Amino acid sequence: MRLNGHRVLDYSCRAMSRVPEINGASIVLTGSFNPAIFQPQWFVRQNILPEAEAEAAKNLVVIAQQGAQVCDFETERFRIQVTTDRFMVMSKAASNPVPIRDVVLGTFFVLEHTPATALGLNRHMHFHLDSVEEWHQLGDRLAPKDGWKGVLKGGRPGMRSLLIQSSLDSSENPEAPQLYVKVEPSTQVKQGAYFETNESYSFAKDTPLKTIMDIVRGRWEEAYNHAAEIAAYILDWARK
Amino acid sequence: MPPKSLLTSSTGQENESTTDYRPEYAKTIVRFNQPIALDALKQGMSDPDQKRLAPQAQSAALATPTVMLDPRRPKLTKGNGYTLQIRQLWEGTVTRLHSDGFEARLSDKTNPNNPDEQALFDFEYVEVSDDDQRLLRPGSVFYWTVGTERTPAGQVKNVSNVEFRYYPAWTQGAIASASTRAASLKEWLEQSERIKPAEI
Amino acid sequence: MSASNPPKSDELEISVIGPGLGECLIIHLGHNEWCVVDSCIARGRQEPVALEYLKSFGPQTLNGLKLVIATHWHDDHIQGLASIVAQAPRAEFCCSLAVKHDELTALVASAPENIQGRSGVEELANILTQLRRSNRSSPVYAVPNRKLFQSSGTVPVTLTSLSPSDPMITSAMKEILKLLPKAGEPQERIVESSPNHASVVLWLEAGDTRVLLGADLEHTNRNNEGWMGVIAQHKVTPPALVFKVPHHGSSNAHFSEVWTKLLTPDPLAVVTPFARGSVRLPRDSDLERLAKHTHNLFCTSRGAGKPPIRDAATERWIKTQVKDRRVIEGQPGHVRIRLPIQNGPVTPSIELFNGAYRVQ
Repeated sequence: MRLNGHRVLDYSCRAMSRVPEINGASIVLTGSFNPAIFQPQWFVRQNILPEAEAEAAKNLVVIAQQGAQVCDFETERFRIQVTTDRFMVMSKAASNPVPIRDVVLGTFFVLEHTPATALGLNRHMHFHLDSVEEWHQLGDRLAPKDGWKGVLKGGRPGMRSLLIQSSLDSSENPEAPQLYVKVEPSTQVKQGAYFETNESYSFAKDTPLKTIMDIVRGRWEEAYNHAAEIAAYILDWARK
Repeated sequence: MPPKSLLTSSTGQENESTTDYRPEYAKTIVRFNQPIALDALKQGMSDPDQKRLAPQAQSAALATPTVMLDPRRPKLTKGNGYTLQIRQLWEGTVTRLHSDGFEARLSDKTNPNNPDEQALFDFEYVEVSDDDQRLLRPGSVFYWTVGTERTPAGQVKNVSNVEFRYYPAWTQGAIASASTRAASLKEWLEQSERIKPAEI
Repeated sequence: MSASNPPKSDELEISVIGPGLGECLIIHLGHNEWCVVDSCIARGRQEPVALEYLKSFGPQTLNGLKLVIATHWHDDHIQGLASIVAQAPRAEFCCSLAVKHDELTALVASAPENIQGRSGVEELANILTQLRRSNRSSPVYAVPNRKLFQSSGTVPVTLTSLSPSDPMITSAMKEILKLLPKAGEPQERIVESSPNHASVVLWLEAGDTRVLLGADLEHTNRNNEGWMGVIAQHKVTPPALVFKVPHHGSSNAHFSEVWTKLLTPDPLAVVTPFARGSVRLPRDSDLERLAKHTHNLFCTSRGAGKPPIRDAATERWIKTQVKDRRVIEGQPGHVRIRLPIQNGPVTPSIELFNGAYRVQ
């Protein structure tokens, strides 16, 4: 099976049989931002957040000093953090992650002239595995220990983190969008596996923001589902 | 060196892996080159944030040094909060309003191979928040989530949630941009020389 | 019975495919020349039904696709049409002259700005963008009595548009005007509730055989509009043997003079179902009405079937929140009519696939 296509259709149904215990997503843009404006009430005025949600925002940090440099807050559904060169919306673990797309699209529909250089469509999932054996088997299959046991004598080598990179399409273009998949033992779910995907796009200078938002609009759901498909496939494959 | 594009990633782990890919900008964020009003700084901050920043800000106010602040790197954490395990997600488009409910076309986002469905929601049973009520009209779009919520105390309950999608209103800029495109489109459409009166 | 045997070179084929939401007509005009009218995508599939069908005859078949027609922009008729246009580089694209009017041009041009997406307007915008970017011809515009295709065979085959007339377009533009974005107003997904005044009705002649394809045109009871307009402007020719019933058999698209003036007695009539909103078409009463006009009435699908079964907890929530629920996309039923392209009387063959049925 190819993982570097835009779709992994064969596993779209099986992916659904694996429901993550903890599920989240984020969209990150790098570029040039003015964090001062990204305060909860600004999102309300633009009809990007409901008023009640913005009013209940927590942990607000706004550094307002001749061109603010940080705005960071949490609502019931989102964590929004903006610095001068990075804009991020992340879902909260108790919410549906899909609407973070709307926060991004809404924000940059209004701020249509923002310069942006890179985009990341990210998903995080913690799965509970049925048995300790399955948990070990996942690590052993992704990172076989035979070689390590020869040199780490006396120890018990285990997989701590694995990062796989693949281009998102089959082109040879070095600037082609990349997909990064990270697999780790979950630190939050007992007997759990953590999957993180980062679909990453970099853009030439002066790329119209609209082009970037078209990717967010057209690609977000596929990227989100693709992440689940990858996790389901790897978990099933490791169990065989 | 990590690839440049990893700048666009984020994490969902409580403890990050041993390699920290954070670029320099994430470590050096704020430089207070001018005196700073503590009250302005504190406004809207939670207590821990205020405590963390107060000594730095005080010194900034007095001596205007460069203050380095490392913002917390957001993580998707279960922490002590609630989690939601989503079993079923639909996207709905409102097609008609009634006095006692609304009709919507539902598109299955959990299993996209499932067919679209038409559903009649009853206000008596479906909860639409006050904020969302004003969005309820034909053409508005919402998510309907069914899943299991786990409370901080470990209690598990089935939940259902309807949340409307929020969008900015049409802006003059977007409309002007559409008008420019319309003029160009029209010019191209006019190029067709095949628009002639009836030929038979 | 398989649908994958191609028509003979000298055979006319009218395939009507309707999965419960949307419809698509695939017409073999003879000598491997094809025309696709409207488009739909079957549940769980990526490609429009027309592409799947034509490719089943071999990859070269798409080279013979000469004309792709959008009868109107509603998304139950246009879904996947951009993909067909993209994969058939030799095909011309035809749509209503309405697209050149300021109102519809403005609506199409605003589609890429609308972050809601997913509407027939967006699909139409995609088609036009694609044609422009690939330096293909701008559309052929359908107006009354406009010849869109003429074969070079010994027995002529012609395809002619019968609508929309100017009054029809004027009427349609009044509805479009309401959908145009206005500064300060919320962005919404366009849900097609407007009537289909500017639909493209088609008239096909192959030798002595005539076919009337009714699109979604409605009967307005106003002179020069809707079906009255079509009849008023239609040149007198022998009546049609085959009829694609307009607007899913709904009563608001019924005009009895169509049956008496444009169709032979007992024509072959094909209706496609539609299930969306509070309306499910054709109603039983619609089928009864249509059956009074012909004994040869066919429908592409009985309906969309039962909703999928989800896990018990989810099913419980559905039952508590939703009063009524039904599937609106079924499998693509297929009525295929083939007849020889010749002068003189012909005997058509009718094949039914994938749930299509004869209305008794």
